[in-house]
Amino acid sequence: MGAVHNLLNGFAAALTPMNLFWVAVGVVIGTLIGILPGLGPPATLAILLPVTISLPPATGLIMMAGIYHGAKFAGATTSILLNIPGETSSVVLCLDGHPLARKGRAGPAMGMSAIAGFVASTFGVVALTFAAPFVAHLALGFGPPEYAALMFFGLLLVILLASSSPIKGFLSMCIGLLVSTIGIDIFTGQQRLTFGMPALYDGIDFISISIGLFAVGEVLLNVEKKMDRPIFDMPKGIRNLLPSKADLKQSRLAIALGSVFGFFIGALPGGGSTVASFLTYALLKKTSKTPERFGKGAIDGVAGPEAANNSESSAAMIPLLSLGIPGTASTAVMLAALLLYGFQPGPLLFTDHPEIGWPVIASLYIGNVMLLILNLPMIPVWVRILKIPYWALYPVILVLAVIGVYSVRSSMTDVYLMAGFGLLGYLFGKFGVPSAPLLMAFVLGPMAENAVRQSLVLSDDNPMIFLERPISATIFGAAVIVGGILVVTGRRRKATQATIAVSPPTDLVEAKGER
Amino acid sequence: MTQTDSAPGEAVTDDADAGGAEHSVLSTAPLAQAGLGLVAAAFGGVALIDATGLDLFGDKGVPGPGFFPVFLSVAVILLGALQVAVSVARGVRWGSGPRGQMAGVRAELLRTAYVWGGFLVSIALMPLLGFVPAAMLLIAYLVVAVERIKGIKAVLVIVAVPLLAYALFVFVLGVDLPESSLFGAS
Repeated sequence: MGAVHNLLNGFAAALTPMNLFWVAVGVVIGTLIGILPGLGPPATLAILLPVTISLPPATGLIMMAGIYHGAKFAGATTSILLNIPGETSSVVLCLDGHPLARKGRAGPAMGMSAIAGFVASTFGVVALTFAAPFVAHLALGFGPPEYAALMFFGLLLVILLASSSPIKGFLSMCIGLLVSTIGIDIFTGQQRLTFGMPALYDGIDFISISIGLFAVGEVLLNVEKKMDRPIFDMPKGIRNLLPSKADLKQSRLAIALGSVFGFFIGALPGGGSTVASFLTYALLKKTSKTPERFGKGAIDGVAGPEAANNSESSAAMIPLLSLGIPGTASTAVMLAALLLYGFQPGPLLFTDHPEIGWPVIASLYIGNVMLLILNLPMIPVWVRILKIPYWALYPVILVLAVIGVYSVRSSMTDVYLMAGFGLLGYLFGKFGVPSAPLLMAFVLGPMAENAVRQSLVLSDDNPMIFLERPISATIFGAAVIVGGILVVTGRRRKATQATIAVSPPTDLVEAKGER
Repeated sequence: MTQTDSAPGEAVTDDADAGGAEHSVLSTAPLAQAGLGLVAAAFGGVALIDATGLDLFGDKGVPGPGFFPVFLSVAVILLGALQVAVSVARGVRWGSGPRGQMAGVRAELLRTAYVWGGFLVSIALMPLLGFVPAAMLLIAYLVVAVERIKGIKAVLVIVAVPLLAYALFVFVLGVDLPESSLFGAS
């Protein structure tokens, strides 16, 4: 009950009129800035750090929580409405969020994003309060072999994602893995696949690929024909601007899965919301009874990844607050803020400065509640963006794409690469090659390779290290079992669908009667 | 592991991740799919040539910097070759598909090429002219030349969007945008 008592005290300290005012300001500003492509939560937090630092410590940190949640929601907004991933973790929302917008369901998609985030954030705060010591202990047990096992699980899910077009799915994944090796090898310092171009020494930035494949690729697919009809169906009536009860019911499992998965991944230093949301999406698709819905506007395809995204943000506090290690870029900015205020994150933060530690945790929840209160009513306003004629909208998208990519490293090479990946995204769409495996492999590949190589260095090239350590052996075993189950159930489902497709209707009626 | 076993030209339920566009005939036409395989294999080949210059193994047999690039390049080549083989087999089995199925594809590709080409040229012009002039030229090209939109709305979009974007990102947010090398920093 000590943790509950401390958390309640944290809420009491956080819930003052001034703090509520500043968290509301943070949410609004975070949303407005975060909606600009390339400016995700870390960049938004960094830009507004001078403002937050000028406030008292607890208030400043609470405002940062508001900015963080506002920027995350904004990233979801551009992904859903314009297919421009606002930041890395909102890429997955392009897969189902944007198709929902095209069908006139942008409002429900954005509403589900906010609601799933709220539910997951609630779970995250509760789990953080009670499970933090256990999870921190588990996270400490994660070394290179465990990361390798986790990445193997992730890549297995990527492979299983491409079941209906296996060769092209594998091709997309292998191209993503290959592209992820471009740059200087961190172990030996050798250049890999740079072809002598210094601009590629640092590798290819994720934003170049994601904005290129999704935003620019989508624009090219839309403009290949002279538009004789609107690209987007506009929602009619106030009811169609928010998720329905059926949507919420359909998304229950997705939200639960995303919350748990996201929390676990977020607690790992370097885990990150991108990995969490990708893996959640892949797992959801493969475990769904109707996987063909995904990629075409499945509401749970929005709910699950957003839940993972938001649950991760609570869990990311675990390495920061308990060990003083920022696990993500956003928590690195928060670490900077704590240091500027004169506090040292770590196990003693909660004992030496309880007036900071627990309100910070409470502020994560307050920021999310404020987001729901302020941004849900704004959804109809955001959806109006879709009313802009596409001949005016797509040039804006292209200009924003350039700005979003250039703002990351001020590199024209990144912008050229973005244009190149935009063409690739178009060609993928024309030739029926899935883009998601490429992107997921690009994210998971470097972590997988580094983890494998580090593990083999640690074990003197003994591959048994992956099976000798209990956590990695468990994850490998679970991955093989889950993968086997998914392949078998997938084949059974296809066999059933093939039977239904060729059976005359009378046979089906008789078969139903027998049951 | 088999591809969707459908004849070219038939509506196919492709992998849902394959973009937001309607079904394209290129996604099933055997010749197009074989071309895809060839291009993929060529890409893998180029990567393999570069990767073979790297050490496959490091000290004590641990995978070196070249291990994964070589392995993945070979995988891409093999998958590309497999794609060619499967497409040729489907072409032999089902034929090249209904006549006239490729009609319209050329026009689509050309229109896309105009848009993408204009986008690429504007990117090339940004370091020379600066962000605002290059963006204005891009939007003017797309709105007037490609979409054939004229009138006050077109002018508004062409002028306002780059200026607003510049003001917001540079002055309000302090984000760098490409500066002109011809006219000096603005």
